[in-house]
Amino acid sequence: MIAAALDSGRGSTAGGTGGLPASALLVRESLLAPTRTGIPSRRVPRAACPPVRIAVALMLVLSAATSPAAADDTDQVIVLKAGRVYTVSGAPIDGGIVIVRAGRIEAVGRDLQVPEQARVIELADAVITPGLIDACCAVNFEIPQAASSRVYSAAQPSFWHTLAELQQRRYGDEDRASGTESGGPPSFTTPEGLAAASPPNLTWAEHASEVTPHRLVSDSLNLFSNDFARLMKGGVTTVYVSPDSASVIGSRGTVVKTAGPLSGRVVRRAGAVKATMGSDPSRRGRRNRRPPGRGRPVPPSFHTRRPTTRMGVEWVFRKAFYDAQRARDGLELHGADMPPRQALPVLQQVLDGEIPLRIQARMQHDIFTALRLAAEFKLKFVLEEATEAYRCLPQLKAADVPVIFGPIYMAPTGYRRYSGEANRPRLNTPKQLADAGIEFALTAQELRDEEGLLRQGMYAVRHGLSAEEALRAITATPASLLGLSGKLGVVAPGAAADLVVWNTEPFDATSRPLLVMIDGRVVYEE
Amino acid sequence: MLYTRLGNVACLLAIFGSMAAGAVAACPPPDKVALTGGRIIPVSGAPIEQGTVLIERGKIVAVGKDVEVPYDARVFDVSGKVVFPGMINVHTWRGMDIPNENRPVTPHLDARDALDPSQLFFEDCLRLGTTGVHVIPANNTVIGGVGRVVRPIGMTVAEMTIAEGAFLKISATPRRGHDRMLQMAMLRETFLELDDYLAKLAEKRYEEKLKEDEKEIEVGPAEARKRGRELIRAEDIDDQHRNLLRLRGGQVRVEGEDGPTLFKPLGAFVYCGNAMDVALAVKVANDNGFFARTVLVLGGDCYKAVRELKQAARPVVLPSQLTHRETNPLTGEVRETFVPKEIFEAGLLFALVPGPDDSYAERMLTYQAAQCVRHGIPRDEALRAITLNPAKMLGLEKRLGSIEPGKDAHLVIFSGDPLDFTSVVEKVFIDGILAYEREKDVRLQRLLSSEADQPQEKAE
Repeated sequence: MIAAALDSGRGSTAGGTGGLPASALLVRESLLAPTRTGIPSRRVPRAACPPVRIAVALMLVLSAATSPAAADDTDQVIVLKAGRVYTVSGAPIDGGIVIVRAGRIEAVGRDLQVPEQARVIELADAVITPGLIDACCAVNFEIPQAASSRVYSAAQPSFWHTLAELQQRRYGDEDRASGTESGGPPSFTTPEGLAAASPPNLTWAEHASEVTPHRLVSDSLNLFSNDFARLMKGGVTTVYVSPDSASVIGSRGTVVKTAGPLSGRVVRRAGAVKATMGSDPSRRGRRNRRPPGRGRPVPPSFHTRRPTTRMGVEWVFRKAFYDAQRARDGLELHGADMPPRQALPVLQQVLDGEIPLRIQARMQHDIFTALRLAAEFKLKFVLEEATEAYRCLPQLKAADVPVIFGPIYMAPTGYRRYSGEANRPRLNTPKQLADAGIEFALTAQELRDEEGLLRQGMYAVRHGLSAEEALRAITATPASLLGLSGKLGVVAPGAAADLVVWNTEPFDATSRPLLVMIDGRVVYEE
Repeated sequence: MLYTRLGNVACLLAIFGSMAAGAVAACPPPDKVALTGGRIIPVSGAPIEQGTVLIERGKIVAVGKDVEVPYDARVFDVSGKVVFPGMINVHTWRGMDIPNENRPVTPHLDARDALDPSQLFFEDCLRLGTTGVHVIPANNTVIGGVGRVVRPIGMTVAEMTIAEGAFLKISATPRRGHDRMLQMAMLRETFLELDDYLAKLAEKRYEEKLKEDEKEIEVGPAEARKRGRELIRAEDIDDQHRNLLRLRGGQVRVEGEDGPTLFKPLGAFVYCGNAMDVALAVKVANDNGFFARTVLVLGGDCYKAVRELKQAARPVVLPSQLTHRETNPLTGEVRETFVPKEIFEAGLLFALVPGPDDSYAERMLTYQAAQCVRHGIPRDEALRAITLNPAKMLGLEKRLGSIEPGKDAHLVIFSGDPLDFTSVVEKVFIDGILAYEREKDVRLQRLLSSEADQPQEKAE
């Protein structure tokens, strides 16, 4: 029941965690004696974990108190009239009317009967689109206590790399900002400086193992982060919060709305499993957590985190799914890179196609590796980032792999620049993907505002994509890739009333949202 | 070739021969160029549909619907396109190899010496339709050196130069880790030291003169200093103090080759990083006589000092991030303010600058202007903020910033309306020279291709 309340749609936690919230896993792990050979039964002895029961009861109470249906303002019928409605599911409607009732779109069309006692919002020249959906968003968690140097230095080696990059910027790089407006690079001695120096998705990587599909991003997600408000004001109503690329097989992302009452925010608690090809997972292990340029380079040792090369990354991926298959066949697991026991049921569900898989790969050969591995285990997957997708179009088309492409840039910055994998971007990749007939969504990942999701669409339009395709790539296509086709990302009867009203054509540089509605609630109004 | 490579031996000789003649003489532009059939947005007036711009020797000579095209003009048919004035980046340290000297007070430095004509930055300027760049030392300083207005073509600084530096960079905001008290103290001290330097110099000169006349000193030091003031010669004053004197407006009369002259005055670009710095900047400028030649360069939250800014009524350069965000430390709420709107409503002359290179859209001045339109600033005002306003600030409004007869032919051919994001820069004319063509932009074409970078085909 809880699972049903929290997870609507495919890829729910139902099978892998026995219907319990995933936080129960921690309890379960600590209670069971560790066994080397077997995999614990899927059925968890419920009596063994009373804290979970309390949690369940609490959540029931909470969800009953604040469930969307019981809320006050959604009972009211809202009617939006605008100059043009982009339904995405069908042709645009000039002078369209959208009728919203109980958080859903009841009707959309030109000559509709306006119900009595409805709140009518009339915006003559405005344009209505579905709420935008970012299918691969890196949310700034903004958890204040994380901003102590102790926590940061322990959290992730990549921090040092960021630091080194900033130092490099300071000395010698011609185009970078040693004379920035704020007066130079951030200081690393203050929490603000550390926060500025850190990648936005610092905590999304779980470092306990290279294979952590049993961990959920939603467990560390701060729904109160200001980042959500910023996204919402940019017209983004739903985001898939993706884990970062530090692990070969990382955690599972989560689908959340960017505003509205807390009980309605989580659309899907446990989403796809994210895997990463390329050097992102291996680069972080290689340096033994010593900042580059500080002291002699340390040769790989007992302390070095594996893998250290692309070969190792590929091997960890293969070994994980191989072990998942062996475990299902009741065979014994062995070898150094054995995935954690708890990961195996999740991996098996991925093999069965019950949990979607995403693979991040930027360079051509990494994309080919992903395709090869997927073929090896007969996996369906969605390709993320895909900077060099333009070099793999026939292969992607042949394998029928959808792509979540983005962000669009002339030259990579920040962590992407440091990775060295993103030096050959093409501005017109979305256009090329469209021409090749490959299903694709656009994402802004960690970028906001002038480089946010809407603007990514605008960039794509500048470089040849039609406005219609661009709008679909930030609404209906991401919804379908999240398994929410028809429920989100369209203005159609029955879909959630996630709408954005723009002052003009959305992909115009002068566009701004006048009104944002999520689940029938007006969450932003200019 | 991305832009017209200038310069042969004759050109170079010409430059060294006459620095003052500057870049225009360096490589003579084509005699007559006509751009016909385009929609002309002159910025100074109403748009002209299907108009013609006639250029002679790098200058615009005629603009309008019924301009006769001379038989010997090179004609570019720009029907369906938009002709827009070359845009001006009014404040940047890009283009210099290192933006700041480490020492805090360096008024004797000149951006001329650090300008690197080969930087990709200048290529980007062309690509985005910026034809005038005011390169000036960055903000991490007290007094940073003299800037220079350049065009993004040319192999040498002399070829690039549009105008000699007329502004000194001053920061009212200290660099990180330094405090404002010291910053202000150093500024004051600099000018006190100038007085002291001049006094001592005057005294020395007076003494020398008496010695020449074989007279004994009969007055006290104060009087000697006063009398010696007239005896200071131009070559007595070193670079550092000369620029400070120029900043003060050249009040000191000096003996030059052609009799007594005043130094050509310098203005100042005064950087105010925070709202509190505005009042300090105004005071320093007033105390030292360069207020009337001051441009204020604003940081993120300076719009809060809008009352002071309004009172000062000096031109302002806005921060590149146009929306200022501020988190309330108590509630955690973020407040957003669109800075140009506040400045526009205060009635100030303002200029927009491009965002950092990291940004895809904000690095285009046209996009910055479009953002202003988005937030309710009139379109004409937004267009002026990237063309005519910066030209006025730099004192170059007679040469740059609009399409009018008599002005330098800095023109951008857009494929559509400049504020429409799907419009691209197709051609750029600088002083009548065709400096950029989109289809010949190798780097851009690479980013728009579907080819891999290094084709595998190898010669057998």
